[in-house]
Amino acid sequence: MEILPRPVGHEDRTGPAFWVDEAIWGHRLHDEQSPWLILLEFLGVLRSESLAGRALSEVEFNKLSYRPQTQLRLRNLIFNNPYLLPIGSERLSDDVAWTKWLELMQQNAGGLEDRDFSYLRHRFDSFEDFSAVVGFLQSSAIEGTSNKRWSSKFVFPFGPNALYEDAAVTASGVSTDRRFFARTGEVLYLMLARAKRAADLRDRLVGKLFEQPTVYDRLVSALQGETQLAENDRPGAYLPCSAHPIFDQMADDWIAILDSPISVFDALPHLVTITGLNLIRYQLERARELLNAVPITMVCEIVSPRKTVVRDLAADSFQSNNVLPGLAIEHYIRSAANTHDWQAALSSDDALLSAAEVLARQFDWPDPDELSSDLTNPGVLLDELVSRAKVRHAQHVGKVHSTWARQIGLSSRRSSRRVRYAPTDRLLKTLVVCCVTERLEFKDFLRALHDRYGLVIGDHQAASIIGAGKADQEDFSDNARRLEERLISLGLLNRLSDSAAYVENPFRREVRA
Amino acid sequence: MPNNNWIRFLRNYGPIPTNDNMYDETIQRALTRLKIAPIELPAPHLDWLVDNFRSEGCLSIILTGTAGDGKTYHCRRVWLGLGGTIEDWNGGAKIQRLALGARQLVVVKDLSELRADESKPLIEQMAWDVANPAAPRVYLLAANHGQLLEKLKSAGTDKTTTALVEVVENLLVTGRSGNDAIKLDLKDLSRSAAVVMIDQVIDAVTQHPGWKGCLDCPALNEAHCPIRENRERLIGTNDVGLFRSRLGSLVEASEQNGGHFTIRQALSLVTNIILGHPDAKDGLMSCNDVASLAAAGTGELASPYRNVFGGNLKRSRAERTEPFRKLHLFGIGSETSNKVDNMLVYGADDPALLATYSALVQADPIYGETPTYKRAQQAYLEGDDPSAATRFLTLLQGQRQRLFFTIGEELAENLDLWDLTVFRYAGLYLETARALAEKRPLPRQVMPMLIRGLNRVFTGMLIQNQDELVLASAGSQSQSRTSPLLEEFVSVARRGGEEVSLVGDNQGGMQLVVKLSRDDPPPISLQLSTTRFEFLGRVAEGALPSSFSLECHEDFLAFKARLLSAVERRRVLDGDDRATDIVLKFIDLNLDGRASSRSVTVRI
Repeated sequence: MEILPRPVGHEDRTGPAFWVDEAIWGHRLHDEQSPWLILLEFLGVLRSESLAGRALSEVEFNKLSYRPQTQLRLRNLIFNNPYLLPIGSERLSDDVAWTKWLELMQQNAGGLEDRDFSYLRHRFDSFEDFSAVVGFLQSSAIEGTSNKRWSSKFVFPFGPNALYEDAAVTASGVSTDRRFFARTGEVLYLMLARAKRAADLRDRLVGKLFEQPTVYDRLVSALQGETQLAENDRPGAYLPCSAHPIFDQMADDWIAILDSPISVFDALPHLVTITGLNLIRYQLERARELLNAVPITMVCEIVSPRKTVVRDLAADSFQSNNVLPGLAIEHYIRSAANTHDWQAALSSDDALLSAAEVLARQFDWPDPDELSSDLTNPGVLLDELVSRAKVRHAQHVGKVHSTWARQIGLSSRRSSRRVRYAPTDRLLKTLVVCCVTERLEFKDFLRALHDRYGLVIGDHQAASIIGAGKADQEDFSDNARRLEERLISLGLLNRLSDSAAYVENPFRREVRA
Repeated sequence: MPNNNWIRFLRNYGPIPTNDNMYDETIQRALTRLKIAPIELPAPHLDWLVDNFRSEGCLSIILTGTAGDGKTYHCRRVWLGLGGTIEDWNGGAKIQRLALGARQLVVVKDLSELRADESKPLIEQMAWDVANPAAPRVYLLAANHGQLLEKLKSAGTDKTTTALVEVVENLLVTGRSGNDAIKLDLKDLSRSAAVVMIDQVIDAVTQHPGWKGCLDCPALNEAHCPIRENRERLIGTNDVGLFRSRLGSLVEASEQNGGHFTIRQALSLVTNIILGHPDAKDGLMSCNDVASLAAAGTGELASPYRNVFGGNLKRSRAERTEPFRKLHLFGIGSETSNKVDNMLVYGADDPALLATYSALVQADPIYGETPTYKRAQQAYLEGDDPSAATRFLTLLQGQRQRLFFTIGEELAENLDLWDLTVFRYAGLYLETARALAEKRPLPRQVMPMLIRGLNRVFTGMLIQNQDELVLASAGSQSQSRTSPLLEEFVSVARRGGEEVSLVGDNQGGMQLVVKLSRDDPPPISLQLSTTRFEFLGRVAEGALPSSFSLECHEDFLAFKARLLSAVERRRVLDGDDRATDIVLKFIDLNLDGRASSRSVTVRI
């Protein structure tokens, strides 16, 4: 399995203590970064790289270094500005209201050297108008109802001016703590940059998002004033493989969505969903490659009112996939013991020190100069690394599959105690948009879902499960029939009769109508 | 013992497990054996088909449809109509050939009967022939949708065959061929007008000469016969055809919702209405059963109004069997309406309700106020016996079903007839559809209701505007629940090229058409199914039961997205100057609940 060398040449103080999860999946997948925030981080990278004239193209692997926007004036106005309603309700004269508000901002705005917002006064006819515009931008924020800190809230990506990076703002200043922009967006960027159709995708993304500024982007720009950039570049992104079928799949999906005759704003939620799905697939697939296991499948129950065999199988499938990354970690570390270097180290004079050096070269742990005294022999060393890596893995990377699967509507616990794959309507619609250019026979659609994403829904796809006697053909054909009904009710399927049905791309059909 | 061969034969059309009369082929054999005249079923495309094949530049035809739409029946009639003999036809060759002047007509009554090695050369030959105007062969091919596609796709991949497959797919899905060089048309029998069809099936069954056999029945003048009673009711001599016209309305409303009735299902339904009884074998009476059922005192369970919904069958079976599954969706019987229920429960004792009660319930001693009903009603009202309530409520269901088919037009509005169904606006829907088809003025309340409903969906606010369409956006995604920004008001009445109207679709349905200007951008339309119409009606009224899934909501949001992009296009055509200040129009709600707009200017 391909693992590119870790980027060197910079000291990242907050960087990982050892290089295990990162070597397998990249730096890094992080469960607390929701798929929407992954997209936003990605767009920030894309914007910066696009201005530098190299959008979605990598000069050298893992040398990405970009300068994100911060747009702190805008963010203070929208998310750190609890004064509008109280002032509005005091029924002050316009002049007094502005003065009072400017004063409050002068005292309380965060992360700004210059807290003078008086430039806004001449942009609006009245304080009330200003208040209405801010209210509107609040209401359209991404995950607007979350209770995250204000500096981790995001306006809808109306255009280049609405993009900025997550930050921690404290009395001591602005810092990048990577709490919610944990580099998964960078990983996504590298994936798409390494996809076969990267250039096709770039033209569409840049053209649709950056080159036709929308009225709302201009609005955001009017509030923000001049663009604010971060003080330093952000290097250190890392993706371990130079190419992967999932990268190509992801790019194809993105292109299919962007080519749909819908506004780019409406395309974004679909991009978010399909990105989540492909990232989950990527995590499982890399684990599978390490373990040399059978291809990843996800048995999906199309929710039925009663408990079915498929429901149990879908829960089993979820569980077995969920533990895969953890198994991969252990396997990856322990396979170090099979190397020639390790054998040589064992037979050297100071076996412990040599072994520590071998591990340090591959995993950045331990520091051979500061070996703790309870690490008495190479075997213990290996065990210790496995146990540390597992603890760390369980904190974030190990939760990626279950967290994102829930967030994109792939998994659910609906009417069951066990989590299982049970796609929601939203996910189904995205899948149709990605797989169906105009129309596709239903059974071909089922096959496409299986071939592209490993989703098992109908009896054809479940042949091996049925062959193993775990379910009857009827269980899965009923499952497929439920999908058919669901797609009909979503307006995504045209059933000509009991025996023939077409899945239709809703947007294309509307254009034709 | 009374025994009418015809009824024995008819019984096979009903929803019985063997369902011997499923296939045209078996029917033909049974007819000869029992010496019964065939049921003359509607064949709406027959004349057109025969004319086509007689004409000089005739097209090859593919007949398709759901199983039971009468494909084989059409083929046989065309065969006979063009001079083929019944003997040749009954010979049973899978591919039949008939000389047609200088050409040869190739008839395949069921493509799925052919093995792959038979169908492949046939289809490839056909692909050549339809592409060649001087070809010596024309075709009449029948297959249901799935088989048709499967056979076509498993045939060759050469250019001519691929062209044929593409044309067939286009015809199937869009109804347009997209390639005039291919001399082929496709008739989808599942798109025939259902109401006309059900009416013809009722006539074909109830007026069949076989009923004359009843005149020889030894019990003709002695006892009440539910079979004959149900037939009478379906014919409609005593209720001016009310029963059958309501039945037609249900079928129509179902069709407009995508719930298609095949001829075979219509036959099964009509048979079940006449012969249904829960205590008979397979739920269908034969002549022999009548006396014993009467002796058991359960004659009233043969109510044709319950039979419509498969009430004579086991519940699980009725839910699985067409056409009852489709009719179940209307919820008739389980939906309650206060007015009707009050009348049914208290009508006998409440002077204010008595007149209606006696007209609607007492007037029908057979299926209305029967002794059983009266006893259950009394027991329920007196409330001594706890099991009485359940018993009475079950009977109540049957009464609601009966009333749906028997409340006359003059009382329908007063008693809110369609409240007895899940689709409370289906009556208005059908009335509107008929008005459109006959080019009469629409019912007055329709447009304001639809517009108000649309506006509420479009804005996510409970607004009252009904004279103009309020196109609102959230600025970001069109899927947002609320949309605070006004994009445009579109006048409903024709004004400056703008207009919102309902247009009939020539298939008994309707479309909502929004025009933004005289020519460009072109009008935007949305098919209004029974469900979508209902959704808008309920939203306009202010309450929406959660049973209406998100499907409609999504549909309307997608419609809005199309309208918004048309508005955008109009702005571009109008040459909107976008370089200057930004103007946002926020939607404000006035005290009377109407939306108005407030402009906010942002200077750049």
